[in-house]
Amino acid sequence: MNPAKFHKSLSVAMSLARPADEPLAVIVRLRAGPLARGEVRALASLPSAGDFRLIPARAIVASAAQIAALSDDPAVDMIWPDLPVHAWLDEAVPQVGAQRVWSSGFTGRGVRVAILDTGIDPDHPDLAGRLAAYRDFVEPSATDTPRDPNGHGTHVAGIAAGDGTASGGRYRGVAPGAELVVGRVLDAAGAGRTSTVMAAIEWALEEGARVVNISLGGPPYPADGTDALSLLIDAAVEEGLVVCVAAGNMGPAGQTIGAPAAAKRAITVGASDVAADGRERAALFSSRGPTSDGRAKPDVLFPGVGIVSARAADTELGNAVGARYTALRGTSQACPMAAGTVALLLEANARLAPDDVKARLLRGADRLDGVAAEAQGAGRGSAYRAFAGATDAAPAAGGRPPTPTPTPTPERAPGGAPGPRAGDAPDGAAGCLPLAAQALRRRG
Amino acid sequence: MSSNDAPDVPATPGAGHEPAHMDPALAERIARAPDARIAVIVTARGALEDLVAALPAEASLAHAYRLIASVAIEAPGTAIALLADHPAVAAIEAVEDVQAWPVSAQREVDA
Repeated sequence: MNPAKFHKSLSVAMSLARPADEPLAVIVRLRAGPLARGEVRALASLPSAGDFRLIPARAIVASAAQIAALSDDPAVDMIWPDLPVHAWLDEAVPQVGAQRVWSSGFTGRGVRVAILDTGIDPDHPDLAGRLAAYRDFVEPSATDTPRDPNGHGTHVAGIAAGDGTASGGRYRGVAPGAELVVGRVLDAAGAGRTSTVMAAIEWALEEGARVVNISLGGPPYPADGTDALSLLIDAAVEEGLVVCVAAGNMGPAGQTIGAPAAAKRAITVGASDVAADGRERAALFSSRGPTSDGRAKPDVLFPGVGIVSARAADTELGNAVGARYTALRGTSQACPMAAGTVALLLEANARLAPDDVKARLLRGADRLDGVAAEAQGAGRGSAYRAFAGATDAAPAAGGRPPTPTPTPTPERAPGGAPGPRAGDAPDGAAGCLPLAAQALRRRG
Repeated sequence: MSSNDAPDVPATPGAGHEPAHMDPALAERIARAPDARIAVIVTARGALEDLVAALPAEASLAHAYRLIASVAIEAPGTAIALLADHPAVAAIEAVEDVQAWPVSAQREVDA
């Protein structure tokens, strides 16, 4: 091994405790452009995300031993870790075109979005006053006082529907006008049970939720969508509920879609990020299809790397960005972007049935060049493109039409988009560091 | 599946019906520790009422679902194995653990 060829950030990454065979994404630069001549045989056998045109380098995934061997090759000049780049919520939301939907006057107002997760911090300024219903399924004997001792659920809720109050609007979620129905189904460690999630889905439907976000899952890998939780999700869709499920973080290997991500009628959401060369791609960790019965999943990708959203009080999850926000990555973060997008669509046209909503979301997705279908599904979702024409669309696809419910006519300011409230002081915006820099700094 | 499409099945154990589908991993778990209580989801072959009537006395009911004809129960492995032979039961699967899906802070650097 020749550590002199390791960028210092790679040395830090490789020194961290990790399973010996866990792959690491790296960028390998060669001395005189021998890639085309195939002089570095060891590179040829490794999974590659592609070569760069402007520098003689290739992005690969390799074990620590393989990276060490590459550093001994005289043709190899430098090796960097392929660090995540940043799609802050203030970047990810515009990336999917949500602001263009807001400017049409739609923010999800009057639509109930269910978040089944670790709970919620009801006092977070971005979420305060938005909770329409709450129930604790983990400790049902406890009083139903909303809480989130983990922080995951609050972060997810902020992505779907946070209004960015504590950041002067910077970290605003996709549907900042939506109401929240929160079921606590995961404990303080972020763990739960399928039977509890099933009960919570039924409860969410009874509470008037039109879309539910399920940023959780488990084995088997791959699943076939016939487990009880997946079947109940299919039945909930038939009842008029749009169900968004995180694809899982078991990538980059194929056939890593578990349950309930494999549910046939769910919108299964993988995560996208931006590679070092600026191209959008499926995040390495994002689970890939097909399902064990050969169906294509995930259905769609949304941004899921370096997402800054609401941080629950007294929690340490992720990389803190000020007192009120934290950065996380995962399909857990991509999923509520889809759920928020669904809320926008349903405000625009409450008559859309779940299968109509899914079809619109998939049809409006941008296919990512060079990304395998089993990784990206229909592509990276776009709220704006899914929204186009939604106000006039009549339900066409399957799924029981939703039960009509009175929808209040919102009063909108010109332009429609919610702005920062008077007197709000940005809290999380100050002192932001790139995500990887924060992570590295934490490790000294 | 809903209770509206319930076939008319007798709610008594006996021959002449297909045994319930049971995940091999669950069957193995029961064989290893037959007296241990296990949380499972039981799906009815027909009406939920027939399934509830078939539940063993040792079972504690955690949830009865409305959207699918299933119940979540906890019962000793031996009782679950017997339940699998009941004509009102279509499938039995273990209640599985699920987890939240963020990538850990560790992988912020590693990935």
